[in-house]
Amino acid sequence: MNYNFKFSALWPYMPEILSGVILTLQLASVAMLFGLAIGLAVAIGRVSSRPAIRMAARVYVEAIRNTPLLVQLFIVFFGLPSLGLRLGANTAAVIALSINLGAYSAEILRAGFESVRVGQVEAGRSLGLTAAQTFRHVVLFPAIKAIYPALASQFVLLMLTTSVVSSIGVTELFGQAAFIDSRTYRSFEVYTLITLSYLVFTLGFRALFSAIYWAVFVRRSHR
Amino acid sequence: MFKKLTRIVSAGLLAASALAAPGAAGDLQDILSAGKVRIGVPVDVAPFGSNDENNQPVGLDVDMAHNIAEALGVELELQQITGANRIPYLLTGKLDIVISVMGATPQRALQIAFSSPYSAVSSGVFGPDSIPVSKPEDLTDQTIAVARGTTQDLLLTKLAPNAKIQRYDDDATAAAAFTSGQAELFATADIVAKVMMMQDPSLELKPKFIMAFNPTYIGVRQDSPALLQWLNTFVHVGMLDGSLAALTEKWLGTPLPDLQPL
Repeated sequence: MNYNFKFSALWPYMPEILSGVILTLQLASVAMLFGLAIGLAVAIGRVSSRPAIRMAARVYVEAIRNTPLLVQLFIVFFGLPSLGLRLGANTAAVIALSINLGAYSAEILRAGFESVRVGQVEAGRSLGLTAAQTFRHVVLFPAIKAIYPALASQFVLLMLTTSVVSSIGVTELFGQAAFIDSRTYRSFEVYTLITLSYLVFTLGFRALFSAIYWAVFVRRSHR
Repeated sequence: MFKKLTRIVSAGLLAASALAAPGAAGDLQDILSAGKVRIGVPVDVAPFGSNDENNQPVGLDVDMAHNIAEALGVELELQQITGANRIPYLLTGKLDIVISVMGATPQRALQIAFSSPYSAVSSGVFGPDSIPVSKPEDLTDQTIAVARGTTQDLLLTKLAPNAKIQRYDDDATAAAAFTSGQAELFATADIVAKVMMMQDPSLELKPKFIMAFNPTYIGVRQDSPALLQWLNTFVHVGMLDGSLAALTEKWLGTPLPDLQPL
């Protein structure tokens, strides 16, 4: 049980680690934006008055939430070229992660919508607000406020999940770590280093989300 | 129970080795007077040795065995073996010769004797004819799939540090990247490329350039010097008349490099 840590072996690979950090943060941020957009659209579809739209949204959510992300990733990257759609590894990763997050965030948002009582909506409409205005001010805003912590957790989870996409050759942080490991055989050091990196990212994202919550919900309601 | 089983098995092994002992004499004269040669070939290493759809052994090593028996003028008794049992089979006298994609190492040479190399497994970059690459310097913006951390990855990174190398977790995923068109070239062992083409004839995995060779050797027991000498002569002549080069070309699809005689 005496292992000699030799972190100095990783020094020559700092450019790789740095590029991995940047790519991980980019992948996570872009997928969060697209995933939220998809989630919002699908959640609205889930509570639509038209059965066909409700059904389509439900099929999407169930199909994605009940299959592994790795399989979805492989279908986008290795499967779609058979249909003539060849995407680069980074693009495929963003698409798979966004589609995946879309399904989970849709369910979270739907829970938020359903937490708004029907009486609230009726009150909004009877005050003379249009359907869109009612949705925006009476449903969406309170709904997001109610489920904000769950959504933030899902986003952080997505950031951690980006490590999976190294399996299609994306050189994000985990991919770079595996590469450095294959060259230096310093597995313990390199994985310790990226563990700490992911921890820092998580704390950073949580702080960012808290700041957004404060700016959007707390400060606004005090005005 | 387990102890008893062990005792039965070891008794069985002892009896087997006692029975095998008279037949163990496998030098050249014994083979010629017995009128048959017992040769071990791989059962699970296509294209060196595997079973075809009629369950018949086929492959480069199988052809070698047939050619050797023919040259000796004796009957061939083929035995299919695995990487784990090929040396024990030879040492216990169940076989006279082992031809089984075997690389020579000083450690193995303590137990058995090696002939001159008769073929070679190579690591290279493979892909379709349409891609104009014939040496590492030709690699510019072509994407090459490789399994991370393998010999091929290390060689390719060294030979073409600026090439667009896509690294995957294993050979199977790297192969999927090539077959799905996500990578234009595939760096792997020639036998992997060959097997992929055998399974899917529409794939074009021609050797673009070879990065390293691992020669393969025929193994015999150390107590058969005359047989070893005869095999070295057989390999030497095969090298001179081009028949061994033709055999490698036929089964592996890669040219036979200049191999140093042992």
